Amino acid sequence: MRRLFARLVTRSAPAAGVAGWRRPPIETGRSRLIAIGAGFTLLFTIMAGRLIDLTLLREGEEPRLTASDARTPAERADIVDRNGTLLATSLKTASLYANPKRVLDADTAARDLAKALPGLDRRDLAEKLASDKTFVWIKRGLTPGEQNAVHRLGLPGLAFQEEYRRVYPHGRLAAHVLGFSNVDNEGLAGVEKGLEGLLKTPVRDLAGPLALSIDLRVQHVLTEELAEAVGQFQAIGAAALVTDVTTGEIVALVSLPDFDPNHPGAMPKDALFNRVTLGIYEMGSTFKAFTVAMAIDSGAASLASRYDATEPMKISRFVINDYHAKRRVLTVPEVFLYSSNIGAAKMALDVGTKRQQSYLRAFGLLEPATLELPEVGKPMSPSPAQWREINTVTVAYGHGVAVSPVQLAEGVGAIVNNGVRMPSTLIKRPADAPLAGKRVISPEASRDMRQLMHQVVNKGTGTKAAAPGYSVGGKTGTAEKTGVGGYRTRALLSSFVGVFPIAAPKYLVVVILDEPKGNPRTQGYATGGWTAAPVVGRVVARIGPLLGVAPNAPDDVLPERTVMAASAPAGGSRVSR
Amino acid sequence: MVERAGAAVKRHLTALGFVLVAALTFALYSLKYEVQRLEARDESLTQAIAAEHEAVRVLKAEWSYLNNPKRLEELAFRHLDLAPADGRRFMSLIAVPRGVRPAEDDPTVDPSAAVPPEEPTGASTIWFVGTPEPEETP
Repeated sequence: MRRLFARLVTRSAPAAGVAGWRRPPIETGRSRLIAIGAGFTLLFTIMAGRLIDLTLLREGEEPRLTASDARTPAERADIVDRNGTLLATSLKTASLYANPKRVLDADTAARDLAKALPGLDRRDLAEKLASDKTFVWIKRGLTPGEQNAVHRLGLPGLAFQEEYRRVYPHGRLAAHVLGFSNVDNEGLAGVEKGLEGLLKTPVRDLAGPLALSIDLRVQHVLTEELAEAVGQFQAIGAAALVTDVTTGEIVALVSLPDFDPNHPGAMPKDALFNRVTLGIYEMGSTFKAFTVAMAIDSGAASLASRYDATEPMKISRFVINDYHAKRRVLTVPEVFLYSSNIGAAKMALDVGTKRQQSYLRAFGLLEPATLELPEVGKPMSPSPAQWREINTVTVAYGHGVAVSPVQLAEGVGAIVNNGVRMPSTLIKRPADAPLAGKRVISPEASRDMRQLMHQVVNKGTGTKAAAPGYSVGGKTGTAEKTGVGGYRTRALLSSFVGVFPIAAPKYLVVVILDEPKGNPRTQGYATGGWTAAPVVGRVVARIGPLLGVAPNAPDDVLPERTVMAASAPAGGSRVSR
Repeated sequence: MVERAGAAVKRHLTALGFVLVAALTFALYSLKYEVQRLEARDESLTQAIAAEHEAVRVLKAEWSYLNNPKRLEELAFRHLDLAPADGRRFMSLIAVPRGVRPAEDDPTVDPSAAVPPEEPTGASTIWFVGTPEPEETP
């Protein structure tokens, strides 16, 4: 070792050598070789040690370069209804594109393609395929059948790109709730847009699909009955919703005409319009529920109060008349039952302009509804400064304030839900979530209102909303639509707000028909009691058993059978429609 | 003699070295190919799982499509001897006639459970103040 050191020193500092004595070159060369060899040995030892360390000592602990991609998350989270039925999902589909530079014969290719993919224009295709670009989309989101057909053509220059595409298995059903998204998976309407942030986050953040408060079965019933009424009364449109008044959840929401979210581009603008949340309407007599509720709650009137409806009421230059004129003194229940404008107007004057406004605000009728949809209509009302006596009077029977059907449902829901207003929502509420409602009227006033609403169906304007086995309460509404220069008596907005079971309200059904026309079966009438109320009755009869609502103990008639017999007679509710 | 023995040891060591190198080379070779094979298998399995996931999504969508309420309604109407139950076909236990009460001597049934103790809620709780004359609408 000392020799080696000496040699190294000698090599690195030759000038320090003993004067006159020089090492033979061969010896210098050998010592250098040894030094280099030692260096290499050292390095190889280190490498060998590292190799052993990596391969033998660390078992399976090597770092991974890529995350596991066994579960490729789809672009967007699925949407399901409250029972877990799939409403919207993302599926991998093939999109066809072409590299025109590699297409041999554009004309033949275009002809074959047009044959394989009907709906594509042949000349348009030929133009695309003959262009001098290197990339053109031919068609996005092919069905497996179409993909097969294109495969079979075996054309050069065509290729598929796999993409996620939003699919709505139920088509038109609940279309206005779901909305739709474009080919790039961006939500453009409905929940798809309103909850874009929630749907776009990775699936694990949401812990599964997004569950809506919608019940698809109820949605189907409501759609079917509403569509039938639209056909029967030649209405230009219709809106309806079912809400759970105890939680504020919207169980079904239908706006007609509707659209197929799988092909939103093919629909007229009119069909995309959500009449339930975006449309605002002067509701007419259904507003009397609010007027009577605020009169009873504030103490301005009681059920025993009387209002003189003998003469039409004159206020400034307006004359207020009754549709179902009685020409006598009416009690509060009669005002409500016969839907007396005069009575309601006088009641509102007793409540007072200021108090009327604060009640309407508390019912949620002066502010837009808070809903998980981008399509939320802003209600129209006179500004507080311009709210004159005439406004108080007209608002009392539902003219002068325009609200969306969802606001109407929330407000009436507050009246019947023991006076507590639950904010509307489209997301399923967990069973253990605390309820955050706001009290609007007292439980006693709510009980009085439920009695009144029950009587409207029992013997008032809403008898056609009765459903077998269930006690329904409600209020009819018939408003004249505003046109150029005033109200148009021929264009009506007929509505009915129904609640069941009225003893302990659970569900609320709102049905609004836009410009229904009377027919011989309704003796020419197109009012809410003749057009919208029967829809509510049929809907209640069908969804009550579905939603597990216990029917009322029968007062007079015992049911023919005590069991839900398998051999039910053919005359079930289905046929009687 | 010593020289000879030393040379023999050296030769043996060299031979052993060659054998070791050969064995290690073979081991490394087979290990490498084993790893490659496993990696390929891993990749194909991952792809198969992804494809299965995709298939599951498609099947779920199809299942939902087939469960469309309108379709089920039509199928039930056509193939089943059933009609939708309306509200009149449910009743509270208290409305069940007395004769339907389970026999007292049936040990499996608690007779007191057949009739709920509380009053039924429902139409009987609804009354009305100042009822007007019933009349035709409108």
